[in-house]
Amino acid sequence: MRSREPEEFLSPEFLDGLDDLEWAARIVARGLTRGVHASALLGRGDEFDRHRAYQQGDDLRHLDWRLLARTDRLHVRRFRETSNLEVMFVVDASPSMDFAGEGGGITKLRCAVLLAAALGHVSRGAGDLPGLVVTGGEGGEPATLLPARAGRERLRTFLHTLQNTRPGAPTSLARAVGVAADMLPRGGRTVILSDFLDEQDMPELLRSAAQLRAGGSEVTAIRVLTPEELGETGGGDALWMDPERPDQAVAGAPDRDAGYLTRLRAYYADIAQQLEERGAVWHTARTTDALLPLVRQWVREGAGTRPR
Amino acid sequence: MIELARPAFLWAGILLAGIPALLHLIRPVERARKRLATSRFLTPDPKRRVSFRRRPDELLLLLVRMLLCFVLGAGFAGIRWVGAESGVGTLVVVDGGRNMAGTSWDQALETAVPGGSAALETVVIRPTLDGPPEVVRLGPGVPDAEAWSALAPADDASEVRLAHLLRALHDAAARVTGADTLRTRIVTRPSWSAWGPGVRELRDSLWPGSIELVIPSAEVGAREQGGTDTDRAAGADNAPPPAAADRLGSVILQADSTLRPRIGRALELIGISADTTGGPPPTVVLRVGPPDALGPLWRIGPDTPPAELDADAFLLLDGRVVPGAGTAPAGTPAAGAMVPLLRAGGRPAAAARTSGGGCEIAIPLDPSAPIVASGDFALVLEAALREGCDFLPEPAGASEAWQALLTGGGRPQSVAVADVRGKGAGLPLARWLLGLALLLAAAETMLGRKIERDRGRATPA
Repeated sequence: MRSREPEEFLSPEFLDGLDDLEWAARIVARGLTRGVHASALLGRGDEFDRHRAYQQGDDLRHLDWRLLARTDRLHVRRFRETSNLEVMFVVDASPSMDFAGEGGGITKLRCAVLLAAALGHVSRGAGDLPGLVVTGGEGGEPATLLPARAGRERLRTFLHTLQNTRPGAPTSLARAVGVAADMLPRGGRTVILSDFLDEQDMPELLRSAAQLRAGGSEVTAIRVLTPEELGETGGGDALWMDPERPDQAVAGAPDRDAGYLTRLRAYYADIAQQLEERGAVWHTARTTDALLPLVRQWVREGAGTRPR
Repeated sequence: MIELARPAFLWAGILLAGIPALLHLIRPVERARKRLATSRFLTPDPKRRVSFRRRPDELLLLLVRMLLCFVLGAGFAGIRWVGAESGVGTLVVVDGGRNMAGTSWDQALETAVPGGSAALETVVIRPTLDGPPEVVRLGPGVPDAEAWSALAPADDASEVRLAHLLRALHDAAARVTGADTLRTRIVTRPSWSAWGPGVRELRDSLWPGSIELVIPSAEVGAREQGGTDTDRAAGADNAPPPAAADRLGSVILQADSTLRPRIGRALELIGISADTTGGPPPTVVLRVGPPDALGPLWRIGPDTPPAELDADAFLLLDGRVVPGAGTAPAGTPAAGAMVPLLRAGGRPAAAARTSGGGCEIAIPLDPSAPIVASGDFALVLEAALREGCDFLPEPAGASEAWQALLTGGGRPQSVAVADVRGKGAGLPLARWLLGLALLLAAAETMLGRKIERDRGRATPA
């Protein structure tokens, strides 16, 4: 289903399409409550981990009698615990995200918000705790900070905050990612939604991603662009202005400029490679794409990569 | 075939249409400014800030502007479509009423188509017992003699009025095709009462042109005028007024304001012109005012006794003195007295008197009189009437108010035949073109705004 209209925010039909999804983590979760992700702790979970030699005091119900029959030695079965995750969504609300393209439709920011809402809904459905950081605040600070917390109304607050997200001032995405990392002391999942066009911010962003991975967090980067920016539809011959640098207009036609496509693809290929080298997952979304199939595809791709 | 009343406007429109084209060719258009966050990846080219490439809607706007200029020029040029016709044709309307009974009918055929010349159409107007007269179309060519005889009016038939003849002429002229120039001819023997109303029908027939009035010769006996004006108007007595027995007679017109510019023309159509031969000239009495308020007819002519003229060279209407050729003499004439407007060579050139709620102005149409010779008598009428006479619209059923006094049937009268299908004919296209110009102007405005909107769509953040 295409969730393209601005007025529609996670319609019932869209939510129905998300209910059966389970976004398994690629890391070992260290949450405080049970969830669907593999936990570092061994205990009384449902997933068998390994055998251990019996020690006095072990629960005899966990003795493996078959192994005893084979080896004449006592062994107990150990199970892995499951845990939940704290998931921080970092939404880029800079001026470059406030762009819908020539054909109208939703802006990149709106697309990012809808994707964050969908993934947040999936996360909460699995017992994870969604949080939110939105860039564009005063003095370079994030405009919105919503820690990942438990609670019955937490998802509602999360979705309501996303729905009211508006474009802000140009601020550092890397700074917002750093704030999100600070809010994941036990690690978790960080989802960054942006157009990643701030070239100067990129080194810091890559460092933040590396730190998150080193701290045991999973990083997912979702690039949001319009078809015109990807050179897929005709913007025509015009004087093009960067919203964050309006004094630097460039004459040209993106859909007919071979050099434009080459440079654009090279830029993003470099970013994707560097992020992936640092353990991040890279996805792309167009503002004209149907979001539900995209979300389902991403979640299922993630389910195939269980932590080892 | 297209005809232009004012070709200069069309040329002006064509020249004006070239201006948008010239501007379009020489003026570059700055590109539309649009937002694109990835603009830094574009291949920069400073020379491409402006462009001579045009969008399709800009070319459409150019076309609309050029068309607008041309259409305006064509509209003001008075363009008319007159069809692919040429040549001169003749249209004949024949009076089939009582006045044409007897020998007049036999002569009428020869009069209608002299020398066997074929007409584009011959129409015979025949009276009916009640209702409008019957229109019998004989088609093109010379009418068949047998068919013509079958249409001869009976002695007890009614009269056909001038208004009906003129209406038939007007309708037939609009119907006839095959000629650029149309000569129209009415064949009739006018009588006192037959030439009743109305001025309105007459006015309708003044355009597209003049008519040729042909009156076949007939015996005219001295008849005595009898009965009242009303009786005469009712057709009870076909006798001409006695005072005009040997004259061509007079015409009284009930004028209204829209006829004023064409009074002179109207007189021509009635058949009074300088072509009259022999006899004293007729007199036109212009009666203005409500018909029931006017007194008996009064007319002057070359034989009018001077004693009946109470003043000299000034006009007295309703007791007011109107500046004229002289000063009011001692002893102001009594109200209602006929006083001359002008004198020429000792003879009254025009005179007027009040009558009831209106006035009468009498003009003897002496061809030698300067006023007639100069053709300015219509202007004199206008000037005099402006001074004090009110024009009233001709009331319906006012046939008894104006009576044609043409007599002397036998002396053909004719006026110059004018081109009745020239510039006045054809389908006027001007109003359609001006309507199209309005639509084009609206389209130009909308298209221009759209293009400006598209150019300025992207604004800096």
